[in-house]
Amino acid sequence: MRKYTNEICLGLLVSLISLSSPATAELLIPEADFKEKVQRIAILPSRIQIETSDDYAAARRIDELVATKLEEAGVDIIPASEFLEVEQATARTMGGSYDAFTGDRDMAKAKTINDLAIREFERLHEFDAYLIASVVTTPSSFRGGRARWDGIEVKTKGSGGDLYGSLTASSLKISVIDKTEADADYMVEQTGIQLLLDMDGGFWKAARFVPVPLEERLTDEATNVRAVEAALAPLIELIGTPVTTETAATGGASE
Amino acid sequence: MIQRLTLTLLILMATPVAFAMGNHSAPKGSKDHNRFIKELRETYPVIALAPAELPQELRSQEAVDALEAELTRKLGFKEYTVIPAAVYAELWQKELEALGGIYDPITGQLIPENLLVAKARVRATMVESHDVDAFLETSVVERDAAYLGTVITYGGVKERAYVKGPSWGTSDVAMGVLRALFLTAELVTPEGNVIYKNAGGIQLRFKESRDDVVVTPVEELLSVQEYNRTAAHLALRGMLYDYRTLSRDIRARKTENARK
Repeated sequence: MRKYTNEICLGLLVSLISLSSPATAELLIPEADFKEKVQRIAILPSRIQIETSDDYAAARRIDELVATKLEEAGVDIIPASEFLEVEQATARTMGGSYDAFTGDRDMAKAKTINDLAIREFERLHEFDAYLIASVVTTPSSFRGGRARWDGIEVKTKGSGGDLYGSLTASSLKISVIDKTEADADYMVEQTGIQLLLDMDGGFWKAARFVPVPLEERLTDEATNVRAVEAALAPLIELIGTPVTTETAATGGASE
Repeated sequence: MIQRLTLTLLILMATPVAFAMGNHSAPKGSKDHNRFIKELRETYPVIALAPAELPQELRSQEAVDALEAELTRKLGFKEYTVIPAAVYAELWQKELEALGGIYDPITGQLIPENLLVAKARVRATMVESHDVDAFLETSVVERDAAYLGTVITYGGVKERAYVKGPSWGTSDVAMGVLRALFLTAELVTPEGNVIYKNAGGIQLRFKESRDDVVVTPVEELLSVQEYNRTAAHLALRGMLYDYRTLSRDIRARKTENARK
């Protein structure tokens, strides 16, 4: 038993680190600067970087949730639907960037359309920063029937017996970026959404990886709402308007 | 050391990990399987190949031709009459032109009704012109592949998951998920019913290396003919071989497919 003492200690340390790892929120400029610079935010259409049964519908669902949550919190926004309208009008004038026969995307054409749409959008609207919501793939650490990543912990279908390691999961990444310099991030926040690959079984039943069906990805309203709320919380804390009495009586009840 | 190995072996035996991708849809029992193989050959002797679908970044005519040649060879060996993918491709192109495509050029979304109409028309034409009984639709897809310990098994292929390591962890049983390319094959009736479905592993898109991953360069993907041939074999074996041959084949391939 003594032989394994070091390994057990290391194991406990690793477990404690993974248990206490929070969501990866990062404010990249001083708080005062952020509050001064960011008054009105334009939301860009969400980017779905995981496989789903309908990426377009999933993106629009996330767009709506993000806009609703920020509006409820009193943040001054331009919803993603406004940009989408400008972008689609631009794409229509250029015949689109997708091949109608193969679905392939002409990346050069897509960039041109995006650049023109941004120029037109900025001409039409006054705002200070962009917000981009992306659903990304991320590893989650797995042990003892629980998976943890980006601030959340979920139960897996089975315990997996003595297995440990990583599963694949999805997270919602919220980036608030400078309007003028595309690469200048003001804030990045990432919160876990759901597993993409689950673990079933354990000691008495063979352990088995179970892919989460495409139809079950980003389709559960409660899961999406929780992820959006958690991912937007730091932003709302910074620039949201304090909750009114009326809101507190209804929306605040669940707190 | 021996104690640790024994512990590992015990845990590995107690917790075998399976992964869904790669199980063929043919019946499992020996009698049922043999009946299935016989019925396939009798009911669907003429099979038309549809052009293999490849992800945009991996698309190359060379890879498509190599896959088609291998599928044709395998089916021909079992006395199926094979109608080349070029016939399907020509009709498909005509239908797409008639319908104006199957994707929305603005959003990139698939237009399901156009897809259904195009497929139904191409199949009907081929049944009429070439007496086709079934269509073999294949595609190269990227999917999760899970590993246990240091060995990864995906779509019948067995390979080391690690370039280096693993050196981390607190017990001897580590597991995780990598991404791999699979060749999927579906045998479809002219009415659109899937009668056989399977996937064969082609190669890993990346491997673990201690705390990092080593990505396979795009130009190396689908470029190893032996991997492509093996994938075609693994994807089709459930519809080509009787139970006895299949049992022997599984054992043989497991050794043959073990890669360094």
